[in-house]
Amino acid sequence: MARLIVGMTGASGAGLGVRVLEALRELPDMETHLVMSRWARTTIELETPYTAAEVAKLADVTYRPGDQAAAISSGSFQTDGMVIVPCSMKTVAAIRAGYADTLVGRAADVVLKERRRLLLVPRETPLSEVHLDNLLALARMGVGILPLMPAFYNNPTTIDDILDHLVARVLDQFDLPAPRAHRWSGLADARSPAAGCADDLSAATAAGARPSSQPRPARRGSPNSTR
Amino acid sequence: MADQRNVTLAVTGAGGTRIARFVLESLVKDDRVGRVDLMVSAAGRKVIAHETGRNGVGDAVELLLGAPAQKVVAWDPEDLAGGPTSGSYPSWGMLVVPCALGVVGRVAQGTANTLIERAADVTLKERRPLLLCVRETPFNLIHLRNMTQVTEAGATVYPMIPTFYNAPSSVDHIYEEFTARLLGFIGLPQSDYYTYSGSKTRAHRDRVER
Repeated sequence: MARLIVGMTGASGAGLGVRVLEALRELPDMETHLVMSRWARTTIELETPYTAAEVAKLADVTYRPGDQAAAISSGSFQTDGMVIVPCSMKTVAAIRAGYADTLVGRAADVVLKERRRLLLVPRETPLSEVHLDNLLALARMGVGILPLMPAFYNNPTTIDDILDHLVARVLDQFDLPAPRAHRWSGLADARSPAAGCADDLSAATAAGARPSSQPRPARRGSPNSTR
Repeated sequence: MADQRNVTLAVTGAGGTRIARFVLESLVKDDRVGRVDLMVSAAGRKVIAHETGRNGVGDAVELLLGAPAQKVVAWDPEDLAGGPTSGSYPSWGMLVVPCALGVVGRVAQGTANTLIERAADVTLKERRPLLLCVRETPFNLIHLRNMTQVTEAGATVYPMIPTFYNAPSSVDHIYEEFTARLLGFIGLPQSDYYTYSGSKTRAHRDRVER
């Protein structure tokens, strides 16, 4: 059983957070623990066709952002890490400072202290010196920084294409199979009509869907534990 | 027009050259802009070719726009003696769209290997605006360190990240919105782009009405 914490905070791009939750739901043996900040709920309502209550149902367990006594507040509750998508600059600052005044910040703090994988998906442009300094400090601690930035090598023709690709890149960071991944494999392949290649979910599931019990490739590993 | 500005635009080897096309088109038709100095790196040509299906050779302006444009001066990025190599050459500032992270690294180090990197170096020393529209995700530690360093030196890192509160309806809508925001940021406000006003987004209306 893999167990992932999903945080959603008040940056634009709530639709990607919803997509990530949907993708995780499709994986066998995956348990998701969701915490939405107050402003994530607002962003969900402003940017997606869903209500916050509908999004909450996509996760196995959902916590209130003020519930500092939740399971994910303690390192004794074992997880494979946490993704915050979208991640506001306020949340970045809070994690960097260790200022865990909401459950999002506390859960991230715990993930860091337990040397588990923490991935942030910020959506902000341009980036101020404050933003960059905070992101840099977190990257130094092994935190993954995956800005919500479309790729172009997959020739996106719809917004769904852009979001699908980003979901795959998020799953990649946790060594989870990404059936809708469109992977670059050189210009020659890109020019051919059947460009890109998707992961085979059935094949990948056996090997990769249980990151807690499988040895991971050294390249990605769990960077929080390797410093 | 006496108060027209000259804008330097570089296109380097990262995805998103369609946004460079939109930016160049906007600059060309904008009466507030007198001249555009354009540089397309060798890798930039390859990406344009890949993203447009065109052959990546020939005139840089035609490669990007599909047609010539009188207002645009194309410089060979290998020509370190080109106009933008000197601070005396009149320029309001420089945009790099898209900006490869290797370019950010060389700008951060002051390694002026090409006219593009030299022009960026000059833009910083002349204290002119330098905007780097990076396209990369995830960022590694080196990317973040270099981006922090160029920001400390006065550049603006402007990642090619879309907004979603405007409920974009197509990929081109995202590119157009990004272009308008970018040009507004450099003091060339565009008339038709989304301004966030609190709550009346399309997605919100759609949900309430369903």
